[in-house]
Amino acid sequence: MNHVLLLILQSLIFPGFIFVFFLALFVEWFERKLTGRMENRMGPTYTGPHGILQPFADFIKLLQKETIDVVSMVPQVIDLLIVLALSIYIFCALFIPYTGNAVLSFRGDIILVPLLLGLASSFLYFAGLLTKNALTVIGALRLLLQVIALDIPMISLIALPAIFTGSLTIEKVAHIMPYCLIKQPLLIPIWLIALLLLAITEQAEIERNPFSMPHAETEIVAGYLTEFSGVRLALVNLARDAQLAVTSSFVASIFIGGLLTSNVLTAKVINVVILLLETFLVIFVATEIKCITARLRIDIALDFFWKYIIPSCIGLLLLAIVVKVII
Amino acid sequence: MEGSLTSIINLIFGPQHPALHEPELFRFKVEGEIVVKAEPRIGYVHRGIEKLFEKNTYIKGIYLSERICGICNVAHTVCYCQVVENVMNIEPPPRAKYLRAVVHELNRIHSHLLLLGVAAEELGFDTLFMLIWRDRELVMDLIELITGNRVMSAFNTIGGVRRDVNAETIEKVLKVLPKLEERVKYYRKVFEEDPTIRKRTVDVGILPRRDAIRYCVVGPMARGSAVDVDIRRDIPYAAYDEIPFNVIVRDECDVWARLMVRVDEVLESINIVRYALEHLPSGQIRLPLKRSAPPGEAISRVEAPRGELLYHLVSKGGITPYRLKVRTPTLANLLAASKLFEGHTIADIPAILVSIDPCFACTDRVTLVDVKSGKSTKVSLRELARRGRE
Repeated sequence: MNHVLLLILQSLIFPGFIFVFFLALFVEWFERKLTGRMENRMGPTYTGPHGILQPFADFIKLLQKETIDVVSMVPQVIDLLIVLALSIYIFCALFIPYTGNAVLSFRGDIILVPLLLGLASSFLYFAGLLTKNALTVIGALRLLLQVIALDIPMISLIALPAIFTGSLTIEKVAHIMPYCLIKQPLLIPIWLIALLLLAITEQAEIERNPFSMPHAETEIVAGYLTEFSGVRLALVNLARDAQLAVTSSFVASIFIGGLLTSNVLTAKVINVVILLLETFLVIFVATEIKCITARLRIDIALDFFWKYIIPSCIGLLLLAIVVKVII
Repeated sequence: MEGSLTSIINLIFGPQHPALHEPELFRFKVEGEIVVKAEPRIGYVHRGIEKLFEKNTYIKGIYLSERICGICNVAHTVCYCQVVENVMNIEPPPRAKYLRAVVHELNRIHSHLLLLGVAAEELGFDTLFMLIWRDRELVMDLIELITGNRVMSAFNTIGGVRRDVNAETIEKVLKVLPKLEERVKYYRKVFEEDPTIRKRTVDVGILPRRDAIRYCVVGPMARGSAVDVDIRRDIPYAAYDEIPFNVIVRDECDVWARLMVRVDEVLESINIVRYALEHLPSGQIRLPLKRSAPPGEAISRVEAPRGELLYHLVSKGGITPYRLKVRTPTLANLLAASKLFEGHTIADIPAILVSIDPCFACTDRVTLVDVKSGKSTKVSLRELARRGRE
């Protein structure tokens, strides 16, 4: 009984809904502020200290705005898909060991989480595709093409930490990760190349420049988001912020890791701080890349993925297996 | 059989669209991501300004011509003043001619930097957009220093210019120019080397030299397609016959070439400004004002930032023109541009559009429709005209 109550509390408060909600809003502020500073602007300044409450204010404001009906055969399904996408991102957060221990954890969750992240993206794709508008349809098709091209490199990159550590559980990988590299220095170059490929792949996963084609504003206005307004837009924005937060946390926990194994409360607090700092580091790198590139065309991007990124990811995976077997 | 599998989507750009900074409509027929057909529809900002010229005196016309296009306002006033001077048979003093060239070139720098920033934004490169516009402030400050206003300079007048520069101002301008030059050289490097920009612009929107001549394109668009035309060199006006400068021509014929022509022209313009200020002749800056023109007809052509600008004036005597015709560069370029979209993807639309540097306010001209606003504008025009005579 206690166990069930604890699970409900965890999924509602930490690291579930409330935590993801505030983390997502904070991450949005962090990204906006960084982008602003990198682009020689101020970024948000008005609401709260250094504008930290701006995403929250935007969220509240959007909730009160009129939600214009979407022209679609199945408007209810669109709402359902948006809510499902948001819930999946929150669900994914339960697998991430913020305190050193994940709420849900089983052998193989390292493969499940990226699949769920891809699934949530495709829910947003369907939500866009179901609205009757040339811009949303084009945006949704671009997103779909991107998600398809992304799956193979993402999974093969994520398999690398699993091979390094010999574990398929995110929690364990996050504990063993940086230390196992010191013991097996041959793996370090592979890890560095993987980080480079990961930086590119994650950029496409979170739809930031140079892979922001699904919502390229100068081409297709807001892409698959064009028709959403009011509550719907607030939820979609929240889902996309949550996507950024959860994806970054997930990547940080398995590629950098370094969490403490101890079960003391201090260790848990330190773990939360470590993982959040690593998450912000990942977002910092992503924002840096976003700010120094122009948007690619979808055909160039797909070409780049299928011709270069996917073969090199698979090649790296095979190399890692060979090196691991030799060691 | 192939056609039946994919459907054609009507993609409408405008009159309100993030890629368009002025209201204009483009209807694209899109198959998947490929543009099959593009139809521009101009006229959203038509203001009947040519008719308005006939109702206003020659002096008021200066301010009216300035308002045809805010960005290239100096080109418009230079051209207008020249056409009126041609009809009146007067020649501005040499110092005025040099000052006209200086402000004209500063205006070109500001217009080109604005366009390069917009180009970066349309390609999704927001950082470059912000940085170019930051450094554009340098030249805006120079324009303000010389003419007294950042954008609407109201610098030219019939028979000369309205403000003189002193040695102190010249020194200040010459101090800022190297700073600007350094920044523009850096942006040149970015446009030349950045892989994402090159991927988006090289071999996109190719306008071969033959087509460029056939469609009569003008300005940087022609020079990007290896057509060596520049009114400043071909039919020198103001002080351009005495100032040495190079005409930038590139033979790549694509969007990238058109952008690079503009970057290089900014560097040339900086040199022109420097030369003109260092060799500024002494003397008066304008002739005493003539109000009326004898009957006659004249044209004037200048190289505006977007290309050749033409004014045709017919006078039947008196203080107002009988007819004034304006041919702006965007009108000349738009026809060719709508052909360029075909066969390219949706993502190339903003890139191609920005490479012609469209100025729809120029194309459509001005009118005052509302009675109330018309009235208030009349007052301000009178006020402007009064200040122009001072």
